[in-house]
Amino acid sequence: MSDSVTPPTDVYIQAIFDKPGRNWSQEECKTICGWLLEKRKREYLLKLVLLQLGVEKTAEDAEDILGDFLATIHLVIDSYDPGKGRRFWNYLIICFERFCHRRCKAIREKYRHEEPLIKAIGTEENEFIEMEIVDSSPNSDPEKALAHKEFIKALNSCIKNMLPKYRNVFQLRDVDGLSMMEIAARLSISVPNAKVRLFRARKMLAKCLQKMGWEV
Amino acid sequence: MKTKKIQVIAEQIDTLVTLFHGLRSKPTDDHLSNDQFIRYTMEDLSEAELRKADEHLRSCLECTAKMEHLLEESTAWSGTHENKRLDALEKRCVFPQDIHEENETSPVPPGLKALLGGFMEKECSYTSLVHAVIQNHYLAEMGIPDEFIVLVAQVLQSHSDQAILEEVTVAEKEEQVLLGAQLAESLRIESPKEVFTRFSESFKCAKWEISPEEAGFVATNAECRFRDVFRKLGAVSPCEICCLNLMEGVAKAVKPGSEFSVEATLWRETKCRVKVA
Repeated sequence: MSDSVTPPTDVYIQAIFDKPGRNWSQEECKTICGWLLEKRKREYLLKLVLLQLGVEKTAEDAEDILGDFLATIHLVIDSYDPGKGRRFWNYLIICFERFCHRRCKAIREKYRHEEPLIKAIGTEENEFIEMEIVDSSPNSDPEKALAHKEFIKALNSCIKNMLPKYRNVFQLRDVDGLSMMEIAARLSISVPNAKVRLFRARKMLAKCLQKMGWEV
Repeated sequence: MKTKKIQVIAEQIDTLVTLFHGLRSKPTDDHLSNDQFIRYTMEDLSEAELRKADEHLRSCLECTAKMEHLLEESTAWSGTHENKRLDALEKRCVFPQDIHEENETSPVPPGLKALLGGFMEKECSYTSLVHAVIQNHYLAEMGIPDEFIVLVAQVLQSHSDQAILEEVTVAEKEEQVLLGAQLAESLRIESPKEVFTRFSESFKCAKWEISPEEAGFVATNAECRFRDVFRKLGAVSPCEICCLNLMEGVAKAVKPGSEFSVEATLWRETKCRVKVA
């Protein structure tokens, strides 16, 4: 885990972390559980579990694992030794990674033979888009015009096979020229999500075009 | 399905062609770390860090798939349900009143108390309790304390009173089989024989003895702390749920296809006798 993870700033908690020895009281453990339940930290840990779970598992599974970790935190804290020079937050993350790795492995194993969960596509407009060329310059090179026509034909065919969530973001950005913020607002998703969908859409299209014999 | 026509001009097509030509076929740099993934979704990266992450994501389908999953699943923690979820999580880590009081002389460490609380509230299984015990260094040295066994007996008796013991045993067995390999790894068990020897050493609840047989071995045991405590409390038999199913799960994990036959238990006979082939 990178050192860039923000260490706790609360003075009381810091005092707990730096205390030598292993005598963690119930109150201290509760304080740490409370601290871990703070929104940002909880979000961080939940997302960490989600990464460990793999691509088919849900937020509910992640939440269960965090709940179990909070319940077992005393056991983890018992083995913390500040003498080893590790920051408590980093130490806790490592323990949590190990803990959720074990639990996630069991969950993955349990669902191994099940079909992947079908994900809701969202509320985006479910329609195909098809690009057609408007000849803006009558003196254009006929060879180039033919190549354009072929390219658009291939691209349209690739776009047809894409999920709407990728299709829409590609159209809004690379055809309509909207900014990422405008796209995120229009699709009611976050900017990082819009960006990631765009990156995926482009890679998928490039792969599809390559399969159709285009050098991209 | 409707088809929407979009008109594009030659310059736009050139831009698209250039765009696809500019895509890298192989990812730049190493894959993103867990920390980068999470901070990207939390919009917590500095401008330079973000630029670097975007650069990698542009070229890496694997990382974008993970990132997209993370971004979409994490929306489950936003919006109106978030506080309810937070409350539910908080309840799970607040320990039940009956084990909350600190007792300096208690042989059960507070961490285990918290877990036992979860077990009593049927929030955590016996199997996960055992897994947690194994992770605890204190218990590795001391074995399972009597107070732990008493609480387990109370919970199992309550399951029996509610006529759900059978159902719980089946569910636990499924989990025990599933987590057998994990338990084997934690206890460094590599053969079915070691299941008996390591369980004796680690939990200090029984003393299993091994006698080789033609097609495997027979394990026998004449003393069991679980049996003693459960009998004293007039509770139901702990044999299957607390011990045998757990051992069977580990034995089958280390040697798939092995046969694990329980021929007698100390609960009914003078010795436990398990044949493994």
